Amino acid sequence: MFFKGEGACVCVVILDHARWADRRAVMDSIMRASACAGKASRTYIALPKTAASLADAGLFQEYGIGLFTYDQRNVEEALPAQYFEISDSAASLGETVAAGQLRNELRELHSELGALQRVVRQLKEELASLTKSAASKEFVPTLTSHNSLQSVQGVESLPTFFSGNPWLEVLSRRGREEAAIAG
Amino acid sequence: MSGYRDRYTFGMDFGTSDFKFGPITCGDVPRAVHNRGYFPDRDSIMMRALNQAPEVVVGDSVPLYLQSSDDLASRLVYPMRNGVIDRGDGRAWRVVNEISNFALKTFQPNPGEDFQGFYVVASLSSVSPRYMYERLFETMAEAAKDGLVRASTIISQPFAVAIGHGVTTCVVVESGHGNTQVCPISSYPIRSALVAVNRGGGEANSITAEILKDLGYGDLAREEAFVRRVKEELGLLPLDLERAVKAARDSPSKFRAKLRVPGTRVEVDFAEKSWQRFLIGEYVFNPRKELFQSYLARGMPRPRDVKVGDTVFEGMIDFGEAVVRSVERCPVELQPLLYKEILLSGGNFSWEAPEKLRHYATDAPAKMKSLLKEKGIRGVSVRMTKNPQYSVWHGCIIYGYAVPEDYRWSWERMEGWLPVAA
Repeated sequence: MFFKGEGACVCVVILDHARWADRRAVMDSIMRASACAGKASRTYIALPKTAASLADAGLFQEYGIGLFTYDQRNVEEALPAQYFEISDSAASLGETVAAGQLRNELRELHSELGALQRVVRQLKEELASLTKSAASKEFVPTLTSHNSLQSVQGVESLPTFFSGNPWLEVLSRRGREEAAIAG
Repeated sequence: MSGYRDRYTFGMDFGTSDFKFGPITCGDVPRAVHNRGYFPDRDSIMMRALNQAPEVVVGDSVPLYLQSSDDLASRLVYPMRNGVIDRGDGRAWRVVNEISNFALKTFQPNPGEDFQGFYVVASLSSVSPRYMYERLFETMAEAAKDGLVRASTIISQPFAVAIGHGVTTCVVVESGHGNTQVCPISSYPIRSALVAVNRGGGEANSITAEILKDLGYGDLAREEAFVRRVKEELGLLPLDLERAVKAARDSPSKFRAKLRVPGTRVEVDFAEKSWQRFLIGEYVFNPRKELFQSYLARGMPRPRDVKVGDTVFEGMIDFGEAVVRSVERCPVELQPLLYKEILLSGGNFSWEAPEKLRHYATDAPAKMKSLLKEKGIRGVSVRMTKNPQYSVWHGCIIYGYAVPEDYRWSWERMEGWLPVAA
């Protein structure tokens, strides 16, 4: 987090209280804080109080990094950060770093969105092909060959109530099902 | 013989009022005439002088032969009024014979064409006893002697409705003038699950007539056609009878029922008794409501349980109960599928809810859903048949077109072709 005001910029790197036992998370926080040290007016690392006892305050002090400790009730400045005079370009580093982080997050979101869009496109194509194949299998009332009749008139001449009527198929099997069972 | 059945499949729907008929080449709409025959007085001077009167007249010619209106009741015969013809009713069978021949001859091709008889599919009520099938097959055999019939078969009207509607698993509820039939279908009619109710549009006419009498329109109540008109124009089907009646009693002007016959001074006004509109529809669906007891006590005929052939028609069960009983006679795993597709067919289901009364009046599908919900059946789908006038005929045509001609008639299956020509 960056706080900016009156030509100064304060960087605070926060370690999530749920991850204080995660060595990688702790290392990541320390590394990010050290990257900001000297580039922001003041740089702090904020640790849960439960983890603060594990921190080497002397090492933080050596690098000018301050230490906040926090719990559910309050935040305390356990170690003040060293002040660094920074130029305007350096002052804007905070913004740059923050913007960079935002850009990274946006990049990740964009990438995920792209992946989701590809999946949706694929599903649409599959659905379209399924719909097409279902439509092509739809029953069209024509003369069946169950009694060897050949159509003289086309399907178009049948009454409209024939269209899509499932009974045409059901009734054309009359006698065939019983014969199949008997056989 | 190529393309034979796509020209010469023939359907016959013997409805309670109308007879629909025609070959597949009629397209979507068959011919229709009244399902009736007139026996003119052949001893009358006019008929003897003209020497033209046939024994029975059917089809469009009937009005030309009508004589005294006093004789109409005895001479004008509607054979299928209640779906079933008595075995010994000679005149009714004569009408059936005549109207069948009339239908076939109407579409008989010209000589010289490759015509060798129609493949005829006739449709009867699902409660028709075996002797009706036998008599109708005899009629077809007679017509075959004139080269009109090559093979014939008979299917039940609810089965035809399901075929015409394109639904292979469903419950068809067919309600006509005299009775209501509940028939589950699953590729075949499940005949063992048939439930018949001795109640139809005629009962709605009865309650309407009683209401008109109570309102002081006793003379008008004797005219069946007028009673039917009042039923159709003023009768309502309530979603909840008690709630609808209370609302109508509280605000009679909102529910006012008034009918004037154009060109006459005849007018009926229910006035503050307009709540009785809801009794007309409710009585059809559920006659066991307390409100109907006074009418029954005063002599209105109670729908009775009757046995016709092998079928018992129950008089007083509501339509929801009829559907549940029918479905529960089917295999358990089939039951949810049947409830998902309930088709209502027949003029007795033509109830509409006026927009301004839509909170109290409803239509037949919604009413049926409500009755089923009372019985713990939810998630049902109930709809009206799309073409109630023609769906039976449509089903006959599809059946006749699709069933293989070597599928022979079986009295066990009650399906198949009965060839009558060599």
